Amino acid sequence: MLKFLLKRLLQTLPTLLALMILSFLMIRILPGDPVLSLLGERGATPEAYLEMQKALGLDQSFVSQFLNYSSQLFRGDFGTSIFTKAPVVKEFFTQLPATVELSFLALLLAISFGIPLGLFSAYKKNTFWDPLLSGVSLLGYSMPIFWWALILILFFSVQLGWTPVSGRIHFIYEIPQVTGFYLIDSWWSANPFAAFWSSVQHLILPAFVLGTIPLASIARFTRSAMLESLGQDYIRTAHSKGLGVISVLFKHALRNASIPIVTAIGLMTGALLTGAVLTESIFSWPGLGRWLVQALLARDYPVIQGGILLIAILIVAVNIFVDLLYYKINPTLKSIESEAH
Amino acid sequence: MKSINQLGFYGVSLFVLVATLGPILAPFSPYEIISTDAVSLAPNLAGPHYLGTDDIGRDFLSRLLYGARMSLIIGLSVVLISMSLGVSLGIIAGFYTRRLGPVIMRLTDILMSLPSLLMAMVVVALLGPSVKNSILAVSLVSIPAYIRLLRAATLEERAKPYVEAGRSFGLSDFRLMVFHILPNCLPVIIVQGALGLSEAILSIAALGFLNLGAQAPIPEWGVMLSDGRAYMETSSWLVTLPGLCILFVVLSFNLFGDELQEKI
Amino acid sequence: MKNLQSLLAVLIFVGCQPKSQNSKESIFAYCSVGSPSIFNPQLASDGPSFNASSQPLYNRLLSFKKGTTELVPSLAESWTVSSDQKTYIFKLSKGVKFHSGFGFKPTRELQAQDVVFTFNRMLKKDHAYHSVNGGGYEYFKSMEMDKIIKSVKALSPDEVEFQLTKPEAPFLANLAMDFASILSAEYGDYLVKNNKRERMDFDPIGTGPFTFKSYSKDSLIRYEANKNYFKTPPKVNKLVFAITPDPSVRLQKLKKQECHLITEPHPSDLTQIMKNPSLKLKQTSGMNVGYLAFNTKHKDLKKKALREALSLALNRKAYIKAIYLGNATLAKNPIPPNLWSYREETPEWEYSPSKSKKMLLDLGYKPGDLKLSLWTLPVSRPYNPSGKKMGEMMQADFKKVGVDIRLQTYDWPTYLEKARKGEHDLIQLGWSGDNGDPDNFLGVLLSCAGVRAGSNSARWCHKKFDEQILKAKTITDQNQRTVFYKEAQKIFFEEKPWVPLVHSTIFRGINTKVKAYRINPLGTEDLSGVSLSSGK
Repeated sequence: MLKFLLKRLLQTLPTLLALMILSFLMIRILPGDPVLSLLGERGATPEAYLEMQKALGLDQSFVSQFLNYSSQLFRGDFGTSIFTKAPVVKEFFTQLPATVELSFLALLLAISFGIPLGLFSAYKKNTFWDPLLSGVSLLGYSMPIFWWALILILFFSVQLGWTPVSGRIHFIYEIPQVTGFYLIDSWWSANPFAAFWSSVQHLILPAFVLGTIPLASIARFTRSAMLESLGQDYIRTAHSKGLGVISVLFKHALRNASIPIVTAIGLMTGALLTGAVLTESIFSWPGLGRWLVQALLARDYPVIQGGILLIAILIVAVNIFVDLLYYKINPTLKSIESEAH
Repeated sequence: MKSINQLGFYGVSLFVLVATLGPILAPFSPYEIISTDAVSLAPNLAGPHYLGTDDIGRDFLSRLLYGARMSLIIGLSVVLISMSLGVSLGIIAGFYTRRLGPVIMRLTDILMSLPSLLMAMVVVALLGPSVKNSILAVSLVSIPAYIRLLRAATLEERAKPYVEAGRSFGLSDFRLMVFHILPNCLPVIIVQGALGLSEAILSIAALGFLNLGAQAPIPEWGVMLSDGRAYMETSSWLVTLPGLCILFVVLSFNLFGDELQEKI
Repeated sequence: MKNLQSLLAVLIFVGCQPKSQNSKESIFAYCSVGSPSIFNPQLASDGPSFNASSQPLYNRLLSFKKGTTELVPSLAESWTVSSDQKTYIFKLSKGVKFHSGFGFKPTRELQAQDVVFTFNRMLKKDHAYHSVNGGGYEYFKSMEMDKIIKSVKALSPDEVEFQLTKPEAPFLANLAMDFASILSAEYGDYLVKNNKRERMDFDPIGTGPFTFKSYSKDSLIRYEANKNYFKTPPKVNKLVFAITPDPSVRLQKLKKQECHLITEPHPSDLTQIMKNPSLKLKQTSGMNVGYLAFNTKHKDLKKKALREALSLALNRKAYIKAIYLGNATLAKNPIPPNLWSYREETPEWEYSPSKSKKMLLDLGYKPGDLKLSLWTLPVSRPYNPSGKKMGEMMQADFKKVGVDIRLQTYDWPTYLEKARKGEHDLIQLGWSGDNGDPDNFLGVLLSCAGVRAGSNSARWCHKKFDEQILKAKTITDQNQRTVFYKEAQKIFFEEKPWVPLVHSTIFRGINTKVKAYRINPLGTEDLSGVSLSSGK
C-alpha cells in the first residue's frame, strides 16, 4: 500500500515540476501589466511605476525571478496576491472549502441519482425505459451548464422564488470560521437551524447545476458497466442457480461494476472543477473557480501562478485518493499493479 | 428502435445544412442594426423578425443562423488541428515506446494536469481573446484525448503479426505507421472526432460566455448568451434561444458519436 | 406529481424569509458592484474601494454636503486661509474617537498629529509608512498634491497648518476627496511595535460612522455601527456589502430582499423597479461624461477636419435610446451641465451622415480608404453601461460613411495601460467627477500634463486651451475662473479632440423600507444616515 502510494507520488513529480516552469513562463508573457493594474485608472506617474515595479520584484532579471520563485515554492510559499496582499496559499485555503462543499454535494447528487438511474436503465434493457433514460442522460451530458444555470435561476429563483439567487448564505447570518464549510460551521452560529437551512437553500441550485454532467456520465457509465458484467458467465451461473434478479444485480454485478464507476467518479474531479469555474461565476459562489477567473482577468500574477499549481496538486491528490480507493475495492488489482505501469 | 438510433445523424445533418445555407436562409444581415426603434422585439411568427431582435436591434434569427456557421467552422477547425496533431503524436508514442513515447506522454500529462476549460482559459488569457486564439487554445487542450486513444490503439496494432511481417519485408517505420496502422485506427479516430466536435463547440461557447472567446460583433452563440444575460427577465429569448442551439448541436454530435461507436 | 411539487415548495419555503437573529437589530444590505482592492483610500483609485473604506470607515477634514458638492466642516470644524492663499490653518473638531479593533485600543481622541501622520505618509519618502503596500498614492499625485503641499505641521493638539507652494483654487475641495481620509497615528505606532505595518491598509481603523467587522473577498463585507461616532451615529446596527458584479443578479437580490439598495441597475430593468410596489427607483443627474476620444497623434486623426467629419457620422441619439434606454442627456461640452462654468452657448453637435461623407471625400478619403481601430470600454460604468454594444453601433454608423472600424478591447487594466501609451485610434472612455471642480475634468482629461500622465487619451496638447486651465487654477474667485473655463470649452468645441457622448443619469434601486437615502452625485456611496423602517 505504502509502496503503491510512494510510486504514484513519484510519478506525478515531473508533471508538477514541468507545470511549475510553464506557469512561471506563461505568466511572464501575458499581455497585461500588473504594475499598472495595481496603480489604477487615475493615471500612473513614471516614478510611481518604478517604485511599484521594484516593490513587486518585477524589475529583476528573468532568471533571478525564477530562482526566487522556485526556492519560495519549496518552502511552501506560493507568493502573495498583488491585490489583497494575502499569501496565495492562504487565499487558496479560504476559497477551497466553498468549492469542496459545492463539489461534494454535486457529486453526492450525481452518485445518488446517477447510479440508480444507470442500474435501472440496464435492468430494463429491453423496454422503452432504457432508450428513454439513456436519452435523458445524454441530454444532461451534452448540457451547456452556463446556460442550464441561467435557465434554472430564471425558473426557480426568479419565477417561483424558491431559491436564493446567489451567494453562500443569507447576509443576516454570521458564520464563525471553524471548518470553512457553512453546512458545518452554521451550527456554531447564533441561530444554528436557520443558518444551516439558509446555507442548504443557497447550495441546492448550484450543486444541482454542477452535478448535472457528472450525474449523466455516472448513469451512462453505470449502465454500460452493468450491461457488461451482466453478460459475464458467472452472473449467468448465479442466475441459473436461481438467485433473484435483485440480488444478482446488487450482490454480484454492481460489485463487479464498481471499478469502472469509481474510475468515472475519479475522472469527474476535473469535470467538477471545470464546471465549478462556470457555476461559481454565475452563482457568485466564492470558491476556487471564481477566484482563478478573477485573478486571470485582473492579471494577479502570483495568484494565477500559485493557483494553477495548487489546483493541479489538488487534482493529483484526488486522483491518488481514487487510486487508493480502487485498491480497497478490488484487491486483485494488487497483482495487476506492477503490470499496469 | 432503428429510427431512434439515427436521430444523431439527422441532427448533425440538419446542423451542417443550416450552417452551410445560413446566409441564404437568413432574412437579414447579422450585423445590420435594422432600426433603433426595433430594439429587443419579441419573437413573432408573423415576421419579419421571426425570432425577435437583440438588444441593439439586429435580427436574432439571422444572428443565430450565422452563429451556427460560426460554430461549425470553429468546431471543424479545432477537430482538424487537434486531430492531426493528436493522431500523429499518438501513433508515434505507441510506435516508439522506448524514448519518444514517454516524452510525448509526459507532455500529455502536463496538458492534462488542469481541467481542459481551465487550461484553455489560461491560454486564451495569455494570447488575448479572439476567435482564432480560442480555436488554438481549445485545440491544444483537445490533443491529449487523441494521443491517449491512438497510443493505445497503436500498441495493440503493433503487437499484431502484420506489423512484424511488414518489417521483415523492409517497410519503413513511416510507411508502417501511415499506410498500415493508421487505417486500422480510423474507426476510433472518427468516433473521437464526432465527440471532439461536440466538446469543441461547447468549450468555445463557454469561453465566449466568459468573454474570452469571439469578440463583438461576431455572432457566436456563447457570446450572444452572455450578452443576453442582462436581459434575462425582460427579453428571455435572448438567453433561451442561443442555449437551445448549443444544446441541440452538442446533443446531436454526442448521439451521432454513440451511433458510430455502436456500428463500428 | 402535483403533491410532490407542493411538498418541495413547502420544504424550500420554510425559512425562506429569514428572521433576524435579534429582532431589535437592523441590518442594512447594500449590493455593490465589485470587491475593494484595499481598505485605505489613500492607496485606492477605484469606486468599490472608496465605497468600502473612505465612506463608511473614515472622515476627511472637510466633507461635501450630502447630495451636493458644497464644502462643509467635518473633522475640521473651521479653517482660515492666509491672504496669499498659501497657508491654511484647520481647527479640529472635538470628541472625535477612533475605532478600536485588531487588538488596538485608542487611548486618545483625534489630534493634529493624526492629520500630520496622514499627509506625511503620502508626502515624505522617508516616512515609516511611505512605501508600505506599494505606496502609490496615485490620487494624491494625480491631483498634484505632492507638488502643492510644502509642509503639514501641528500647531497645537487641535490645530494643524498646511503650507502650500503656490495658490491652488481646488485645494479645499481636494481635502474633501476620498484619498484625504484621516488615519490614526497611534494605530500606526501600534502596528510598527507589533511589526505588522502592512496591515494598516487592510485592517482599517478610522473615525467613520461604521467600524470594520470582516471581509470575505468577492462576497461580503461586514460593518457595525460606530456608537461613538462624533456626528449622528448611524440608525442601523449593521451594514453589509454583498458584492454582486452582475446587474441582473443585483436586481433579483433586491426583489428577494437580499439587498436593500443596489447600484447601477441595468437600464432595461428600470421600469421593472418602478412598477414593483415594494421597490423604489432613485435617480439623479450624474456628474459624469462619456466620450469617444480621437488619438490626435494619429497620422490622419491629427487633422481637425477629419475629426469633425467623423463626429458627424455618429448617431448619438440612437445610442441613448438603445444603450441608456433614454436615461442620459446628449453631451456637447466635456463637463456636465450640473458643474459650474458649463458653457450653455456651445452649439449642439450635428449628426449628418451625408455631410460627413462629403467632408471625407473633400479630404480625399474615398469609401473604404480609412481604416481605424475603435476600442470599446470593457467594463460597465454609469457613463457607459455597455461599451461593446455602443462599439457595434458606432461601427455600423461609420460603415455608412465608408469608414471601416475594427473593434478591439482588452481587460480593464490592459485597456488603460495601452490607452496611456496611445496605441488606440478611437477610444471610448468616460469620467465621473470627484470633487465638483471643473479642473477635475478639464485638467485631468485634456491638459498637456494629462498627456504626460496618460489620463489625456486624446493625447491632445493645445497651447491656448492649456493656458486657460492653468490660469484658472491659480485664482480662487469662481466668476473669474468661469471665464477661463468657458473659453477652454469653446476651444474644445472648435478642435474636437473628442466626441462628447452623454451625461448619464445615475440610478439606484431601493426597497421602500429604506429611509433617508440620497444619491451622492460624486459617485461614491454614503450610507451613514440611512435607516430601515420596521414595517413590511
